[in-house]
Amino acid sequence: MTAMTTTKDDLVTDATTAPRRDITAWIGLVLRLIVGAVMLWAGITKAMNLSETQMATRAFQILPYELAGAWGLVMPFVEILVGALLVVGLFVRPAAIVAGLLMVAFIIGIISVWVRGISIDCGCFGGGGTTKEPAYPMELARDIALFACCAWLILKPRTKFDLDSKLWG
Amino acid sequence: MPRPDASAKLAQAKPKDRSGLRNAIIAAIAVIAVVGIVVAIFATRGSGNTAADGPKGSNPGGKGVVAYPGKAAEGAPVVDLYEDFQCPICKQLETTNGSAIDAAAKAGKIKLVYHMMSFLDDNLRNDGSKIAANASFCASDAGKFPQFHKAAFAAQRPEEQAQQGDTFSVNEVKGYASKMGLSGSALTTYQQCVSSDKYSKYVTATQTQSSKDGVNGTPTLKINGQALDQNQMGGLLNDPGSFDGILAQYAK
Repeated sequence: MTAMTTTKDDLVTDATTAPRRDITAWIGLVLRLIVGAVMLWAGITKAMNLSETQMATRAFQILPYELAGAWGLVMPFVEILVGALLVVGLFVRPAAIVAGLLMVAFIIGIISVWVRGISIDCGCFGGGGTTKEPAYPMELARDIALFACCAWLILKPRTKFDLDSKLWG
Repeated sequence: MPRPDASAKLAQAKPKDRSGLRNAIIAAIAVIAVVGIVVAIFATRGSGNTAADGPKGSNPGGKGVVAYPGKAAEGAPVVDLYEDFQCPICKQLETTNGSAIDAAAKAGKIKLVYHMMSFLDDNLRNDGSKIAANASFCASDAGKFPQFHKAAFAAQRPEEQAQQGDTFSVNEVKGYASKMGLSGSALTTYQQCVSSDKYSKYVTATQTQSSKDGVNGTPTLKINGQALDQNQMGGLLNDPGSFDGILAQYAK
């Protein structure tokens, strides 16, 4: 129970609800590490070559040219920040909200290029640009799964080994 | 249900007042976010601008260089070819159908427009594409774009070498002058143009405009504005001399 926190609910914790709460926190830990690690990795690979990332965001042909370039500059660092917060378990709910919004944006982007028949690599982990065989179904499935993880974390932000409960209790 | 341990728990875990730290972290993140967004917007402002002086035979606004200006017959189909001098598949296209495309343009059967992109510099981490593109525009001033194009693709090194920095250099592309048959004042003008990176803005404008046209990979070939589909592009890349047949299908 040491990792438990002192929200009002915890004070009325009894023997029957505690184990379930514990399982929820463990699941939350796994999801938080999955989403966090994926975002951290995706952000770092994109940040390694920003002009390539900008080319990838422009290739979606959704935002105007200059705005797409600005988005390509900012987004990798948002991913890195959110990924890092999720990995260490700090501000889990706000971080999960931002991550979830990013996933929604990516899902919309991929559906949009798919529907318009534009053949591109999503550039999700760096690179991007034209490709002969776009992997849209896989990319969509992955982003929807990550979105589901974010939704869980938004609803159940209390997870095992998080900094949130250690710092602000 | 009794709550036996409520007070004990309360005492044990008395609220830790770290709201100062919390606010500081939130403020820091907010400041970084705002600064980052402002920097990104300023960094990209004007990046979509394609105003640039191009060489003889070029279309304004980075819209490509006409291979044989004034040669195309009235109503001839427009063929837009988007390439990067460091793109290996472009070299393959040059090998299989370069001379067929060139011959059609030379004969005036098509209006051939080359869009020399330079995004591979970012992938390969060198300046080869930009150097070669600028030099190709210098060659266009001398009316020798097709000759430069041929010489450059013949000299293209494999990707692995280009990644090591073994690619087009200023001195090397200057040396193509002999292959293009330049001499006298035309030679001097060409070499000065290459040395001074005269068309660097037009190089950027070409990349930007191509990207705006939705071209994100090379080679891309459009006939009367319509990009070839994957099958036809594949045929063009693999079957030597297949260009005329594909042209006939598209340009009805």
